[in-house]
Amino acid sequence: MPVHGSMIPPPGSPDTGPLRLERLLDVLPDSRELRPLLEELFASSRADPERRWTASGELGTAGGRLVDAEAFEAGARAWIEAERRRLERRVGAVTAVVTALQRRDSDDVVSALLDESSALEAEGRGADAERWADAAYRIAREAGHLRTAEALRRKARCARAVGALDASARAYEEAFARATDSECWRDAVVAATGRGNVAIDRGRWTDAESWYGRALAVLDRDEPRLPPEDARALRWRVFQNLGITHRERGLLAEAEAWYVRAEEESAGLDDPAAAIEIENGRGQLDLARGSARAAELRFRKAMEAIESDIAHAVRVAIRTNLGEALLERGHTLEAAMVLREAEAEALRGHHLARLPAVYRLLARIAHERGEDQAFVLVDRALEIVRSAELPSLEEALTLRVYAELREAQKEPDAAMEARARADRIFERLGGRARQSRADDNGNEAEGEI
Amino acid sequence: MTRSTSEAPLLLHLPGCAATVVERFAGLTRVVVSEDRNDLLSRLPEAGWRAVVLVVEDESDVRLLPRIAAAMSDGIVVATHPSPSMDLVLEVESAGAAILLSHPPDVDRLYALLEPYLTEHGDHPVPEDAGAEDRVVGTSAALTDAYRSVARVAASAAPVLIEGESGTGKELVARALHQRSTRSARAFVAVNCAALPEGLLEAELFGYERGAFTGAVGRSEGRFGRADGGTLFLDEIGEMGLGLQAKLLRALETGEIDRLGSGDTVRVDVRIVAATNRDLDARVQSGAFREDLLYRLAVVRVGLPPLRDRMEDLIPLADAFTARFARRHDRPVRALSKEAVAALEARRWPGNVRELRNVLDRAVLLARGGVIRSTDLGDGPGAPSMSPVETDDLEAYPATLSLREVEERHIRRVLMGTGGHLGDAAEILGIHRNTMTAKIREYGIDPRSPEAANPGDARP
Repeated sequence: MPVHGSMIPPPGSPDTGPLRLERLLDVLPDSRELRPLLEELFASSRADPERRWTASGELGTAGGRLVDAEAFEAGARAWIEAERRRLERRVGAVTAVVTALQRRDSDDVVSALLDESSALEAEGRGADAERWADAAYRIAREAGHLRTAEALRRKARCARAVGALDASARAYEEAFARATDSECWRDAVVAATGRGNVAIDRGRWTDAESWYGRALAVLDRDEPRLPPEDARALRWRVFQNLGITHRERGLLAEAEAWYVRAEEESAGLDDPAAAIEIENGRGQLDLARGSARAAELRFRKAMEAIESDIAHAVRVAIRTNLGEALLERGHTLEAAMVLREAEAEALRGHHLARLPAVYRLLARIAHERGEDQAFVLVDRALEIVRSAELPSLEEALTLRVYAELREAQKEPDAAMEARARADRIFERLGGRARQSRADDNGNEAEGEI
Repeated sequence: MTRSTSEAPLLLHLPGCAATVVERFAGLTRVVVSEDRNDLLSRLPEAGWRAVVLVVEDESDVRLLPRIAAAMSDGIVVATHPSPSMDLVLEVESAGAAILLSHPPDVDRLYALLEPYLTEHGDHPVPEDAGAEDRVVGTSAALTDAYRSVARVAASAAPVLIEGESGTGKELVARALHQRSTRSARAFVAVNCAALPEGLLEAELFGYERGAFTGAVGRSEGRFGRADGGTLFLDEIGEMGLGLQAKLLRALETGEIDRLGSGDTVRVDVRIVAATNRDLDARVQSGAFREDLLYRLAVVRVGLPPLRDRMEDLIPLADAFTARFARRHDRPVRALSKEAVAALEARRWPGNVRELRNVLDRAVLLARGGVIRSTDLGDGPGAPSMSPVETDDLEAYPATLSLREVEERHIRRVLMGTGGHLGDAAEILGIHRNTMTAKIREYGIDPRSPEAANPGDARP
């Protein structure tokens, strides 16, 4: 959007109010390097208390939050410390690679590269993680290393995380083939499951099911190929994902059966994620059935059971799902409260990628309450999708909602254009992509232990 | 019919633990214990049960619940079960129970749950026709004065500036002005000047051509264009930047606007109604608002009183909202208890009518037995959530804690365990240290003494 007036008012000019994030973002350059610091700015920002009871407060987005210089500085110092540790770790990784190369020890080279890739992935730096995993893969492939499939699989997962679905699919397929050839059964199962997850991202449900079937085929052979507990830990995740595909295909009874099997398979495992993710999945099934009350209870139970080692992003996802269930029940006020909690958690936890889903739902609520400007929430969601380079499906889902709101506002041109853009993306993705459900990120499981 | 507290009886069927419950409630109300289901059913027709608590052990017990709920006009049915499950919760709720607790129930928790039902009754019935229309409610002198002004100026084309705190109903007044004007057959278009970033606000107000800027995906005639011949309501106009104020002033003075990306000037005939919760005179003094624009906008000024200055309107408003939300949520809420009325009257209402609306929206959903009780009103942000599931797996939190309160208690507990060490606590909780810092600030936790209560108001 064009910025009007002076970006920085001259000295002595009137005080036009507190500094908001959107003003700061207008001033700072659009640089990739700044992104971690921008996340700190978002995480340290706070809601404007003066807007609590205003209509603009109900339509507020991350951009309207107030910059808190003190909190930002504290967060930035912690970030500097984290960056220092990361650089030290990077130096350590490169040193390990150099040392291993000098010893001509390809195993250790691959290990060092994969370790750094894992660490980057854990930090949410998917693109960098993919590059390290790719480097590991090249070395491992050259050396005929046993970890070739693992390196490929990591590369595939990182590619998926940054939305490079084609590259991810190819990598998973190759990983599966290599793992099967070299009888690395765990890698084979995980690769097949991951390939199925990419198909879900594209809305290709039967494709996903065929890959999950391959994962199960490896797991269910007469001669056990994995220790029983490992196999169960992988199997429940496949069952869970089959629940998702059947749900998306409208086969709700079959989906229920898969969730029940996932629950049975995970019983007794020391895996706190299982109960939460299955409850979350069954909640989404209840939503699909129109049982919003049942869905609400499941999401609340999932929230209450969340333990400390569950991914922060999962909490945001479950809150978002709970918000949707409450909205389906017409409890718009409580839905808005829960979604604002999800928004705050996403900001604090540096999960900006979760915000578009939250804002889409808040926009629906605002629209139901008669707010003519509900589109401003989706406008912000689109900004986040583009600046964070989120997967195309996210953009398409957001454009769809944007189109509905612009239509309601009697802006047919804008509505038509947004709808057309969404349709082009859906076409490019192929298959029947997810239309309006809150997305399943955090609900699909790759089978990584 | 009003009853004294001692006549609000509690009926129990809790084999094995009734004595404990009787002892706990003895000072509060008469408690009747049924030894079996038949005895309980035979007692139901006796008038006046406020609460029934029974163990549901099988399907036949669940099938009794609708009968029990139907026999109680303003009361609550609580079911208990040795192993509550999600499916059972849904089943008993659908059958008429308000909540399912573990059996035997925690007596203190049961007391906290039932006490409002045993002590608060539907003393204030809500008129059946309350809230039937979306209109301003109130007869206070302050509001009447405001409406007299509206009536006087509605038919003219004069711009009006409506002033009042957030949530006082400025848009309703603006709509009333439009409806009573000669422009009522044309559009009423509203725009909230604070909700949009400045660049977007300009585009929304004046319209744009396709491609005029990144994001201009189609042509738009803007709000001025859509309001042509009608009324344009500019809410929170005090938030508008100086640059845009200049363009607005030109539009008001000349009746012409320029669409972004177009070289053409468009004439529009729009009546402007503006609203603000700011002191615009002070902002003119400080240079943040143009004096000439204020002069143009405030040909007529209408002031809306805050709710605390029109408390005689509070209960009629509460009635209107209660009735409206009862219809919307399809809940049979017919009355407020006198304690609830007192609780409403005791609040300061910084959010005015909007806050009252939200409180009653929630209260209608939470109310059981057709009566809104004081505990249904909540305490503002962080008010109780509606989580009816109680199992032995959960922490011993009261059923009415919100997720936020659960999180805060968990963080305090972990910090106590780490001796206040943030890094260790963050690791245990599985959150980034920055997140930990933000959370302890948000909840006002002193890491050195995390068990201490909040020292002050939580940050919004």
